[in-house]
Amino acid sequence: MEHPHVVTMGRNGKESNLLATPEILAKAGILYHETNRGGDVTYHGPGQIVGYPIFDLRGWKKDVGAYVRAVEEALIRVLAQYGVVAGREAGMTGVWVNRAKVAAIGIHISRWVSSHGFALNHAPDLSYFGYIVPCGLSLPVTSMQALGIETTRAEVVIWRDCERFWRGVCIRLGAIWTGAVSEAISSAAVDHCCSRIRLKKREKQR
Amino acid sequence: MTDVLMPQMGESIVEGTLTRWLKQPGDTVARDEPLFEISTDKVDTEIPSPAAGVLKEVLVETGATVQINTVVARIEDGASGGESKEAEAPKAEAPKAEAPKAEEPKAEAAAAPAPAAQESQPAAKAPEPPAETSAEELGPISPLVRRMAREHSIDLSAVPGTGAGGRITKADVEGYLANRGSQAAAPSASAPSAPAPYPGRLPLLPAPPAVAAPASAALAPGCPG
Repeated sequence: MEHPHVVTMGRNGKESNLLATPEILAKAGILYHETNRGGDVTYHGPGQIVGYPIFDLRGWKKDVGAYVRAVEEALIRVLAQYGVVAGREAGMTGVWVNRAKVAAIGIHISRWVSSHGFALNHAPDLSYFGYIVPCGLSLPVTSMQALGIETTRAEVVIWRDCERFWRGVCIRLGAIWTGAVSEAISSAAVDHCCSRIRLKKREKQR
Repeated sequence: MTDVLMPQMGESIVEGTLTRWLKQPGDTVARDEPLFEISTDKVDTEIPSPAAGVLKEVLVETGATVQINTVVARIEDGASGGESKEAEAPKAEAPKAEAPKAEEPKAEAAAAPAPAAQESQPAAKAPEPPAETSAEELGPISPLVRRMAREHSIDLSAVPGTGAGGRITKADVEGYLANRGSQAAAPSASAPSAPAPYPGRLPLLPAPPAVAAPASAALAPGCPG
């Protein structure tokens, strides 16, 4: 999905990483919210692809670290489809290209069910990140557009997300699927991918 | 009296930051009712109460980071009990050194085949793309096959396995390599028992242009640092 301009503060956020007062943000047409996801302050806005995967981790593994790594991995693979060599930075959650963050992750878990999720910078106006210290880190942010990737949002969302991204996530999470995820995800693609996995598991059992 | 412990939220996680108490001392809590929130690695987690009773004392303040198994609070009333542990967590220190190491191999083990786009530029300096597919998808992969796949930039998910249980053998990889030039990885006829190609093994899309990603161009204007 796509959000209007909004700055959100995570549970371990520091006010000092917000470089503008809520009043200034309001003047710039930016909403401000405190949330119950993990992480520090971040920005969402037009041009970002935001996804909120809802998974019951009990059916996979009860490991929040591994879940974050799985979401990162899925995003890395989506970017790889465009020839972008993205990866991780030690100790800093998210997906990075040349030490610039291209996708941010912030998760909330209640009774091992995940919420919140990721924000992939497809083609947002990066100047909006100037209002904050993203995630409290002094490293730059980037986007697919800034990296020279010419693609439409629809293409990224519909084709890459559904066919590759969610297939990847489904594999990692053992195809546990507890609810609608976001409007960006076609349930048909998910069903397709999950049923294939079930099929394959049955084959293995024989 | 039941001790409330800092839970372990995953194999690689040795500590957590207490971000918020959802109950105050004196409050009544039901078993499994969210009692506090912790934060680990960009994940905020609600922790349910291990017992029903009255929150007697809070031992860890909001904002403090403590090792797993540390007692963070005590709940009075033995309605459930049985979960108490020693107040000290002697082992909590030990796993710390090992934990970060454990994380990496795990991420790789869970990883699926390296996407073709990365294969086409093996010289790129990004973190090594996970070249191995998880056992879940392909079954066990021998180190030899894994190495061959890496050296020749092969997506193993595209190689039909003819070994025991569809396992990919050295011969399979050699056959795949020989085939690769002429035809686009037609499944070898000698692999009737191999599992049907998973959708993940579809031929990849025409590769988009590779990108050198000049970091400077990508800087957010006005972004500190």
